[in-house]
Amino acid sequence: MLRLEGITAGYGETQVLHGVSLEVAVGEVVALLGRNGAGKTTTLRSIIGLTPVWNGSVVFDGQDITRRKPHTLALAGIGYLPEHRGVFPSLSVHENLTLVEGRRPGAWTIARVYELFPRLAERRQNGGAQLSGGEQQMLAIARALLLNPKLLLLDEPTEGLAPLIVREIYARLADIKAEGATVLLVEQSVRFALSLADRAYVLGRGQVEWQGDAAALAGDAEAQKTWLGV
Amino acid sequence: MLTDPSFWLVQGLNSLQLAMLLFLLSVGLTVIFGLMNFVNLAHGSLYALGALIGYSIAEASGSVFLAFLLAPLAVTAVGALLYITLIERLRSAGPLPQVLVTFGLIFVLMDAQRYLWGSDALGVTGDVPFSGTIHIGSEPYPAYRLFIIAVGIAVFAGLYLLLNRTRLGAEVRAGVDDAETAAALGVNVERTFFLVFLLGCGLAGLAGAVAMPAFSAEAGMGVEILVPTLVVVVVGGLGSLSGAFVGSLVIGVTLTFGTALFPDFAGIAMYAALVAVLLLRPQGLLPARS
Repeated sequence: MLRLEGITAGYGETQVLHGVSLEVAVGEVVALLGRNGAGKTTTLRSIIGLTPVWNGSVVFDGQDITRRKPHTLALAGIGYLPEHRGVFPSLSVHENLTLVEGRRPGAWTIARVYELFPRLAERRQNGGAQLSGGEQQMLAIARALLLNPKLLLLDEPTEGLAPLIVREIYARLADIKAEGATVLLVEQSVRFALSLADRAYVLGRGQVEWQGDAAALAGDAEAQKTWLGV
Repeated sequence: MLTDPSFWLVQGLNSLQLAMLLFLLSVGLTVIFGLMNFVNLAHGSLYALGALIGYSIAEASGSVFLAFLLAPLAVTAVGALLYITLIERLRSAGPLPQVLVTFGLIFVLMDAQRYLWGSDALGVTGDVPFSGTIHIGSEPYPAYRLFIIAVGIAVFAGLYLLLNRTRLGAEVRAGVDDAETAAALGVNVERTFFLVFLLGCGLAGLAGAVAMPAFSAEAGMGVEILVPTLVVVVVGGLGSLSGAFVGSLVIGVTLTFGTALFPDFAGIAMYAALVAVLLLRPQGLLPARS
């Protein structure tokens, strides 16, 4: 579904990615782990076209999408949950959803995401700025689902959330996985990410330092300490 | 004079009328800035263009209403031409090239206007609607100025509905909040920006056409109104429709009463208001992004 071949990217003069290669197969959940500043967010931004790729290529669904514009990638079927959620404060909860619904019609509708996250249905008339962190996260996930994506890019879906909310978000992500979603997941909380993922990549200083089965990494405390410092 | 209620009423209406022209000009500018951090300094020249084209249409057809309808469309077409030839290329060039190029455009457009219409102030000779006077206390007052106020309020109401009740409006608000995320969710922010830019040009043209019967049309009028318009954008807060409206009222009142009450200091009253707002609320009165 997705293949990165030695991509390099950065901001201005600063290079962040030094040749990242990875693959995500159809129906697979892949975790992208690593310490702060390892290049996880930049990798996702490069895929969706927000950070220009300098070299290397991004292949999605059999097509080279390197340097394509973000909105065309969204319409081609990449759902993106940005770092810090990116809920629009000037739009109500419902407007945050109607903004996206219908751009790529499919199984996910506003009614269905309200079923998945009943809290959002209760708060549909609230402004995006009035939501709690957990509700914002639910809204951002719901919004990405409404694109009926072939591939979901999730950038820290549990960032800054209380443990109880983290568990709820992961239960919903497990529901989404059970429906056969293909996901590339960036996470700080290694334990939750590995509980959901099939495979994992560990980034360090803009390169892939470790890759393998999520279960292998989850069961290997030594490897976690070496690559992730946990 | 100061104890006469009709003085306050007349000056109040004058403030409102000036405020509505400033609103028509500043609203496009502020939303474009909020959406794309783009400043078009030549926006005032489009106001002058609206007035001059409106004058020619009114003279040729004898109908000022036709001028109100067609002049904004003509200015929108000029705006589209500017966008395709210059502004699209400037989009990612950063603020300095944008300011320099659009500043240069002011002179290009002014000289083009002088070439086509001459340097004199041009007043319509045919019939003007609402050309009568009403009486406020003992003071006669031109009814046409009330018409300008009505146009401004109607445009504000229309834009409010467009922004808050339509999908395009939601795309504009989302783009002003966070253009990157909007794009990543499938919104063609570039296209939204183009549409907002065109709408802003059309409203500048409408402002010029509507001002023309009251204040005549001349090539330099775009430069005169540019500075108050930019002050409105800063005072009101970037990117916001209500900010442009409230900022226009503040500057309209300041300019009008400043001139009426303290004619010697009229030039600095607006800047005093600007400094006061920047000190107390540097983000402006009602910014789109808080």
